[in-house]
Amino acid sequence: MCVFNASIKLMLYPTTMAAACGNALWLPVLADTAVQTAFVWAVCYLSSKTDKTFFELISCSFGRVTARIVYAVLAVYFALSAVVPMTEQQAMVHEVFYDTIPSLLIFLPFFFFAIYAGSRGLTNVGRTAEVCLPIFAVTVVLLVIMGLLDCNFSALLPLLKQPAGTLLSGCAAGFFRFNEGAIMLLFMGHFKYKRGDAAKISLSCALGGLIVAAVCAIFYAIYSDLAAQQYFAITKISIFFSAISLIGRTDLLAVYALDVAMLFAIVLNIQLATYCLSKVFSKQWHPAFSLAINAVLIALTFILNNKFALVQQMGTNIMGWATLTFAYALPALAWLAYAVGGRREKV
Amino acid sequence: MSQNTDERSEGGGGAEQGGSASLSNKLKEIKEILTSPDIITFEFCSLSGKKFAAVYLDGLADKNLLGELVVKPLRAAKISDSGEEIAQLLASPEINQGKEIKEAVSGILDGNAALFIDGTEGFYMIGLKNPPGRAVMEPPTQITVKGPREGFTEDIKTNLGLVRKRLKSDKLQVKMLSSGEQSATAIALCYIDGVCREGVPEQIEEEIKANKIDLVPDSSYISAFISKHPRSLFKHCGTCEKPDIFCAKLCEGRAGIIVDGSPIALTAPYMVVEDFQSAEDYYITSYRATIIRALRVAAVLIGVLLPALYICAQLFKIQLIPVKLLFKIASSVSGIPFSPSVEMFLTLMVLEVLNEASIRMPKYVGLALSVVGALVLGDTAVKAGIISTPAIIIIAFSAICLYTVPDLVETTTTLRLLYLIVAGSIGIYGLVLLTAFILCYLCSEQSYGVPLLSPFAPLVEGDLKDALLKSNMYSMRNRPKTLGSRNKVRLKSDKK
Amino acid sequence: MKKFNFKRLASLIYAITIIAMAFLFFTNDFGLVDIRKTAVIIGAGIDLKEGGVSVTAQVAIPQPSENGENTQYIEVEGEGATVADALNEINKKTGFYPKLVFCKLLVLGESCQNGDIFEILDYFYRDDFTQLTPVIAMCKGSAGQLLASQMRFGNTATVSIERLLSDEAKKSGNVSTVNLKIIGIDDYSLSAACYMPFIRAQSQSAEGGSLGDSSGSASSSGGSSSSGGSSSSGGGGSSGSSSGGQSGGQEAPQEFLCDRTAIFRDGKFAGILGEEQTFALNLLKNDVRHIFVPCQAQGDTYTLGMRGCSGDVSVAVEKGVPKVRISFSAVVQISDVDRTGEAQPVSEGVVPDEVLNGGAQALRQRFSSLVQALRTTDCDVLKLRTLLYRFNYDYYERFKDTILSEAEVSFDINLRSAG
Repeated sequence: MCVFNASIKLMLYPTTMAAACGNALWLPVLADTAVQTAFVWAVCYLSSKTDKTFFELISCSFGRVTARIVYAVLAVYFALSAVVPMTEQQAMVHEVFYDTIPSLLIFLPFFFFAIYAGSRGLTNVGRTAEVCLPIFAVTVVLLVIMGLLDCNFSALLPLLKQPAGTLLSGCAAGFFRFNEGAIMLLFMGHFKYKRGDAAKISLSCALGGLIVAAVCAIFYAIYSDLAAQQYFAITKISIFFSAISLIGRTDLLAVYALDVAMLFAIVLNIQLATYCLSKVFSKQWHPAFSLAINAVLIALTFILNNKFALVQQMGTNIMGWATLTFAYALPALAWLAYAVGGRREKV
Repeated sequence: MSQNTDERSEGGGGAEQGGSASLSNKLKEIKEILTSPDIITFEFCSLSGKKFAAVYLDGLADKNLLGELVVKPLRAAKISDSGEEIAQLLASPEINQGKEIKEAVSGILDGNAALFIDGTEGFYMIGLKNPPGRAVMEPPTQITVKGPREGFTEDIKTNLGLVRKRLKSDKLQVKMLSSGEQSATAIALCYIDGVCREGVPEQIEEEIKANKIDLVPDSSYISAFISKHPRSLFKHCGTCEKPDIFCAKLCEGRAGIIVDGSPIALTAPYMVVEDFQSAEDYYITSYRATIIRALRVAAVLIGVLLPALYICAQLFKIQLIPVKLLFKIASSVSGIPFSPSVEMFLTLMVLEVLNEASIRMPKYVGLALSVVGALVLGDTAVKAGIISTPAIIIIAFSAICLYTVPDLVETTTTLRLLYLIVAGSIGIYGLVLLTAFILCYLCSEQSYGVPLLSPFAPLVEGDLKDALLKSNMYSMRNRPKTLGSRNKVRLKSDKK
Repeated sequence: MKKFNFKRLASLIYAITIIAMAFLFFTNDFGLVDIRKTAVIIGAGIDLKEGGVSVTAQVAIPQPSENGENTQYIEVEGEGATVADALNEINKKTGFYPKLVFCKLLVLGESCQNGDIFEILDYFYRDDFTQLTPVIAMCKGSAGQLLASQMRFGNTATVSIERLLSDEAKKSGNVSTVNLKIIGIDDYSLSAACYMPFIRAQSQSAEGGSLGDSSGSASSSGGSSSSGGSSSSGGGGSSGSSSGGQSGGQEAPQEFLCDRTAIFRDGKFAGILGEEQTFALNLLKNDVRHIFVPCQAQGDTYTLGMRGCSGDVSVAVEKGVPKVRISFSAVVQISDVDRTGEAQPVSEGVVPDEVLNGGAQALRQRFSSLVQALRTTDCDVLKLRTLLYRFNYDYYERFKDTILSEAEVSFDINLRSAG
């Protein structure tokens, strides 16, 4: 899941990094990945210490009401986390899936899928992740191979000569996209921890980040100074493959297959928001939760239609702080909860 | 026509007076229940004058056997009043005693003969069933070039015999059930004790018993009973027409169901991947089998997606088509009066009509209608500019591709239509969404505790050896972990 | 309160969805443009006119047929203030929506030398639906007339020119093939210089007008001086073609040459490289596989065939002095000599050292001519500034303005005999 979650970072992230950091675009990606991997490891290690879920941990230490409040806020966070990838997906659909610009209605069927997927349980999340991983791996490898033939890696030079301020602003610009720590928190207690799982999961998170960094590097190696103008990097890196002129844009078939993985990655946030809501109201999975969250997202889609720049700004500014809280501070809180009362019996 | 038309009696006096043991009373009781003229009552006497009456269903019971095994020995014997020696005299190996008239009725309707004896309570049920049926032959839907060619028939006993022929194990359990208020269809629930996934046979039995229906003409009805989601587009139990496949599935840890009157046996739990496996895969080299399986998967994907992608390419993203091919397609479609989606839809409908007609039509008009289908609907329609050549090629190729996996044809043809409609209305993004939706759905569905997409989701690495890849027999020493068999080892050998 | 029946709601939603989809399916009512309403533009020519641009699109019009073999090609011209305006006019004229996704060739007319080519090409970089894959070239005279020309070998002008600019031609070193991506990258880079092949009709080959094959004489930079004539002073030469451009109006079939290269600095036209300079540029920029180089050795004229070619430009700063090293290596065979060869040496295939030296000298001369021409026009097509930035970052600020004009240039030519 940590690996295929990287798919949503392949849409606009490379372009924003190219605009922010030029030829050092891969460095902030690695930096953000490294930091987030550390927190993912921390959460997984905590899973090895206790088989309680995060909700139970908070309940034991700070009370059930606090746990519900935390989960309510988490639900809002995950719902909002879906906004930026969703708008990016909308833009990508308009540009890559159609030859002329279709209306907003074309994107609305996404919400049928989101409502359905949102009402499935966490087990479904795990299984779809297992299906998406090979799809993601095969399509990305295919697209990267097709792109490698036209690369000039000297475009990435000089290495490490960018001013630190530029790199830091690049890290900050992409920070909100790395929320695996928050995702792992919700999976605590839902899987049987076996020895070595913390390392495996952290490595997979790191692998996802590495793939994104590699795609960024290849993207810049192909487009160099034009990279900041090329949206949806993953759809553009294989255009210059020589066979494309003979067989047509069959690389787009790989892009469409990759989009299946992207859909699940976007919907993951909605599924987790639904899960949080069900915990807040102490109910089993109910379609009403998914409907409610998707209704909010539909409204946001209409409001934010044609306000793409605003959405990106919101992502960087507001969601950056939110991610800092939920993907970084909350794992620390989980450890605190464990230390305070996590060893006690379940409430 | 009097009642006596249905009766054949010989010798002896008139009806005896007397109590419930009286032959005439018993016959009267039977005739009140079974009024149909094909219920025959044959009365005869022994040498000592003891009266007997055999009641049987004309057409189902074997009259020759009745004569040879029952009537002949009894007529020739001197029977005592108690009638104790009657059971010894009867030459049939299948004799049951019964008391209740309901049992007698059930047995008669099943094709056996009920032997009533004057002055004796109860009756003997003689197994003389010989229903009309066809011989064991190769099933039309599961043909193999290499491997056994026997297929199940409509007779449950024959089918059980075919299974027993292959599984000579004392652990093979066969539980006989019945379903259908009017049909009383016999159902055999088979499983191997110690191998079958725990709890599955019990669950299946419960599901069958929980459903009350008049008639069970085919195993598909039972399939609906035992599925958790009978309205689902995807199957929840496997089907097979060959005893070797059936036995192999039992040995993997599944339970099997054979339904009287249907040549199609069911197995559960079910995984989608098993429809992509053919019996022949296990009789040829693993390399060839792997290639063929990959081909099947590719063929199904092409069959389902190709018409939809063609529509999408024409309507929404012409870049998908190479430029020279695009010009050819554009030339072909430029005079067509319909939009690409309508044209493809019509062509698909024509194909479905041809398909249906070819199954239903009498043999004698088959040739003429084939000519009509091929020439008129194909060639002439293209020349008239009503449909285009690429559309016909695509639909024809798609149809052929889907038949590489005949077990999934019902599902895949429906999916093809669904994809076509989505492609024509929403476009490529619709296809992607529909694919994601189907994947999400399949990931959440289970068949008796086994996820439909096993061993891919959840990933069970050991079982991947016999999923899309077909490993050598020596690499598959254990039974599929997904099926949760209690006895895990399938093959013990020193060979590597 | 009655429990809300989600199943019923779901059934209602399914029914509405199916009806909506059926409606969309049969009407295709998103207003999108499908294959029948599309004009597939396979090539486009752009000329600068007063007050705007003129775009001539070569459009493929498939004709109805059973076997799909009829495709006609027509040229449609549109004028406007920008390329987008001109395309819109094409849409108005034809009623078809012009799609550039299959456009493989962009030709800029000679009149584009007067302006900034990236202002002209801005549309292609902005439009989300256009790729950067089309090959781009400049032509003598009017691009519109070029596309309307009748070709000697049949086919359309676009197909013929595409063949000249194909990958195979690139590998022979005779043509410098670039696409929109390459010129965009080159222009956006620190070197701010790009190049593209210069097409001329066979009948125009008698005219001079390059930066001089061997003289390396200075040329003017920026706009062209006369219509129909070349923009450089170089050989001068009277314009053999009629004013207004090439002989596109001739009825005789045309052949085209692409053995020259137009160079640009900051998007403005800087000059035209001659054949030998173009050849040298291609050896350094492209992945050439098999080339032929004529040279003089031992009083004879040899044509050397070279394989396994590898050309490179590198920048180094040694003891505070910037140095440019142009290196080239290849495996050489004698393809032809202007005298009869003896049987033994021909069969052995050994190339004598004198001949190798002759070949090296010929290459050195070409490279030198190229460098001189680039210095004259101050056009950093070899991307020395960029190389300095990438590989010698510490010295970039010091030498960025002088690297092209003042760096020491050395040539490292390594030819090995195949035999």
